[in-house]
Amino acid sequence: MKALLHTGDSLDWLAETGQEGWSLLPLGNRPLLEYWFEVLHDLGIKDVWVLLGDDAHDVEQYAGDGSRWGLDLHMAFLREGTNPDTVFKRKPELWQEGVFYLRAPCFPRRQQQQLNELPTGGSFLLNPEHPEFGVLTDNADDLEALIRSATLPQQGGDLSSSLGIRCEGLPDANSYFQLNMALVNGEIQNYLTPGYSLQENSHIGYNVITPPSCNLEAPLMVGNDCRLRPLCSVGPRAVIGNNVVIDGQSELRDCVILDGTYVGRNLEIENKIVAGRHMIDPESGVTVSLDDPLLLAEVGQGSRLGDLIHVSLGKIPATLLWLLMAPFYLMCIGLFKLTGSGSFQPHQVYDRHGEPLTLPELLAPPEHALTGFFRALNLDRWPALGACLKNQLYLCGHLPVSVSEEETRPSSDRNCPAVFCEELLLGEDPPESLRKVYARQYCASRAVGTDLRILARVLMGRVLLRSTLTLQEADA
Amino acid sequence: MQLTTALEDSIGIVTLQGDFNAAQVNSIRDSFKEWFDGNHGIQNVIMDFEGVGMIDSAGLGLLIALLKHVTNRGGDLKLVGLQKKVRLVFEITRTHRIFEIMDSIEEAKNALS
Repeated sequence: MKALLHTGDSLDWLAETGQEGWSLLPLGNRPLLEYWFEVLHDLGIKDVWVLLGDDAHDVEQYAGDGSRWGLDLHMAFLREGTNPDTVFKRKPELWQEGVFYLRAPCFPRRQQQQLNELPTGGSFLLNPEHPEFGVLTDNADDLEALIRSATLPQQGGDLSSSLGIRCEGLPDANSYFQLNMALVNGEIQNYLTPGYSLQENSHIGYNVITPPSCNLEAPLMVGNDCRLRPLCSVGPRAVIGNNVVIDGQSELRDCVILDGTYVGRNLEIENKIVAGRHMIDPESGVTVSLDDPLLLAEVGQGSRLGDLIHVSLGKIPATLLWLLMAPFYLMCIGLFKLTGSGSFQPHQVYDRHGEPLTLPELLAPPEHALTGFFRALNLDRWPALGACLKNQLYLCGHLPVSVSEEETRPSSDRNCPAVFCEELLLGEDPPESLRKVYARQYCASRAVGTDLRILARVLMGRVLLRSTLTLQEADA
Repeated sequence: MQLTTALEDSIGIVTLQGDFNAAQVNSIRDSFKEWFDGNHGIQNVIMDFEGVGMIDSAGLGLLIALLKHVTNRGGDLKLVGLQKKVRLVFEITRTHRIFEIMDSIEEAKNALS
């Protein structure tokens, strides 16, 4: 049996928030599509076709080849205005053994942790009250009707009693909100849980910064890469997505905060869904879109003006440093060649536009005095300074991602490759995981002040780091 | 943003129309102060928000400043006719606890009398 998941539809109530499609809509901090992957895996259906809509790129990037879930995923595209039921006609031979067809957005709500065995020998509706949600069938006549004439069975067994899942639609914001509240209240235990479980019904993702003055009250869920500022209070029953910043003294309870949201200072969010600068009142369905970054905003999507300020302000120190370092750099290059103590090899990284950029990388023993001098004075950053002057790198940010490490171009809103970054203070080759943490931290707290701090720390810090190392070597 | 004023039973009634945001704050402050300071008979003020579609943090800041201005004269400032969207902004910023918010001008008048 194979599965076909049609993700091309969108939920009307989500339209005002600018979110395309339902498949990546988080429920209990996991995309809705992932719950279906989990169901299919548990049922032993490995061969899964995903019918993509407008958010095709995001779904493809997220789901990949499906190996994360032990599935073999195939992607198919649905042309606008095409009936998804006709897709079976494209390759009729694929579906002869039976099909699990998810046709409309709904949530597979488990009635039990372990699902019953896959029923065979008939047709089962995902929800008999809503036949449009989809069907599971290996009945020859029903399959024939589906493949040849795109006709879905209107009658059949109830999948909820056969498998132990009840498929629930998400017709409005309130149903989505209530489902999240049920999950955070403990129902998530029926599924794979997101993040680390600290105590009963509280789940925290990785790279979450919570100052001691911050009050967390279970049950709650906090996604990855979140920043909670001092004196804020989160929970009970708060579902906080990934890459969320909650500013000081704000109180969040009984709420759902979607990915990439900034919640301003001293706010009180209760019984609300917040998606970036959009706020939905689930009870009334009213959506408010605020154009006020002091209240609600999107994280990590800096404005073009802000970007321009970073680039322009970076140019002056970059030019000065480039001119100042040039004679030392050239002198060191000569000495490396003369003494044969080091050489340079081209190293490809992604620039700030996501294009490959080749920079020379020093290959020399770190204990060599010349190498130490070269790095302590940041002369290894001199070629990168040139790239900064050519608008290929920022002056301050995070280490550029190596082309060999990442096959896909980094997304523009999370990519600030720079000449100077705090990772340089970690030593010669900081681990990739740590570099990713630093990169995310930088993108979340990007400001001119942060840039100045990084510049001062790196320019001074590497000299001090070298001095400390030299003293330690002398002591040894 | 339009601001119109009226005087009924020695209660000042200010009707606002449009979005109450940072771009409008200065003109609203000046118009309000000119009208309020020029009419010494006014003690209490009712602000009608029925025509206000949106408010931001600058607008809320101005409202708090105007409340202080009115209470300094011993009066009170009441808000009426908030649309759902505006009310939600008041709720998340906790400003609904600072102001007395009522449904209609009549209700506010009764409360002030």
